[in-house]
Amino acid sequence: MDKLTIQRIRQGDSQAFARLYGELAEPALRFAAAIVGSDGLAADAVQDAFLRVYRNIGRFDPAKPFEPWFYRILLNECRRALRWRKRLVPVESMPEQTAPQDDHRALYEAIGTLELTLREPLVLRYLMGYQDREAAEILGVSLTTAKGRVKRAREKLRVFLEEGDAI
Amino acid sequence: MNRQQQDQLLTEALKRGTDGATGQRARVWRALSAKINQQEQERKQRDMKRRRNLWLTTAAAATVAAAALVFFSLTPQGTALTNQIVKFFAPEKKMDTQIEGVTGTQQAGLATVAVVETLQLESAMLETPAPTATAAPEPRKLTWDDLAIHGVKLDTAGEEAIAGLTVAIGAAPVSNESTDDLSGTSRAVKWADGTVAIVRNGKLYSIEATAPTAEVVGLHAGMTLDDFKAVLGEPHEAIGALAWGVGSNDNLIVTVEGGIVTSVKVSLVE
Repeated sequence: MDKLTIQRIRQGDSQAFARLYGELAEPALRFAAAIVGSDGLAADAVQDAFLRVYRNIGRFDPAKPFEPWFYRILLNECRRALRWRKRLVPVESMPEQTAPQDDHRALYEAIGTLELTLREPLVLRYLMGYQDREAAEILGVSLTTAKGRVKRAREKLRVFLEEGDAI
Repeated sequence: MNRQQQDQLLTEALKRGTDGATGQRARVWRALSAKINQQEQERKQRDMKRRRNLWLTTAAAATVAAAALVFFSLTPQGTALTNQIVKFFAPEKKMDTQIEGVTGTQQAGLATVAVVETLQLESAMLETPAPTATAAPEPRKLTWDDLAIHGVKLDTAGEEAIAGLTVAIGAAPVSNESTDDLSGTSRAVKWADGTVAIVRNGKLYSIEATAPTAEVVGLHAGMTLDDFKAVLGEPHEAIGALAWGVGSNDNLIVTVEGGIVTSVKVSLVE
């Protein structure tokens, strides 16, 4: 995201905000859906995240890159959405993703069963394309922790990954 | 399957799994725009309400202030209350002020008067001194050397005094009478202009004159009593006359008729 657009949003330019949304909406919706496992919750999380950006753009430090700041906000909205869903749907009744299936859907659903702390760095790394260091910054954890979590996530998905040839 | 292939598999699975979410992009924007517009409206209404409240508060405060100003400045109760408050906070200071001549006598020295005033009164006094302290000229204090007419001083030898007065008057005495009494011999010498010199026991005891040329410290018969007072201050009451003196004696005695001094007399007091 270029600095001029951010500067214009800070000055209250609604068209600049629309451009920001046009550029970030799709990856944001994918990210949120991968984290919360629901398109509806993802849409709510993205909407709330952009709303927070609109309100709090004045707090953003223009000297720093915009996207990590944005995804930290979106990640917090996703966590909030998950907490909200958890109150409504008991964990035991949530559908389990166990058996390997014969398409990418099986792997995606397996990712959905990972603990949130493992799912978050995995999505940032393989869906959003962030390096471990950037992912660690967005998550607010150390680089070692981020790397360790990705490694553990991959181990849990080993059965799907090793049988990938069947996909 | 190597590591790179596994990474690609993960990426592909995540992308395909989230394809459905991207279809909500337009719906989210519509909802987001509506929410932002709603919040903007609410913010504008809040700002307007805040401005209106601020204006009302300011107007109310101004009204109260104006009412208070009117009360405190225009009504007797308000003025009294203001004065009480001012007095309550004014520092009280005791000041000793020395004022000369306040006793009203020529011999009055420095009188110490303790004056308790507020700070405002003190400054006012310092800026504009009381007229009694400086405006009135100091009365002349008579000395023995002042007791002379035509330059002839009292206590001068009798013959010398008579000769001096005769020269000054420019005429010989018209009478010269001597009398003996218990205090000794007295001699009364008179001139035609009304001057009378008393020589007692060989010394000039007194001179009395009615002529305007007979001056004592620049004062003479024919002048007003106020002229005498202006120079010498307030006189003492003497028998049928007014007097000033050296110390507490009556040494300059005048008779007054209708505010005009008709005779001047300088005299020793035994």
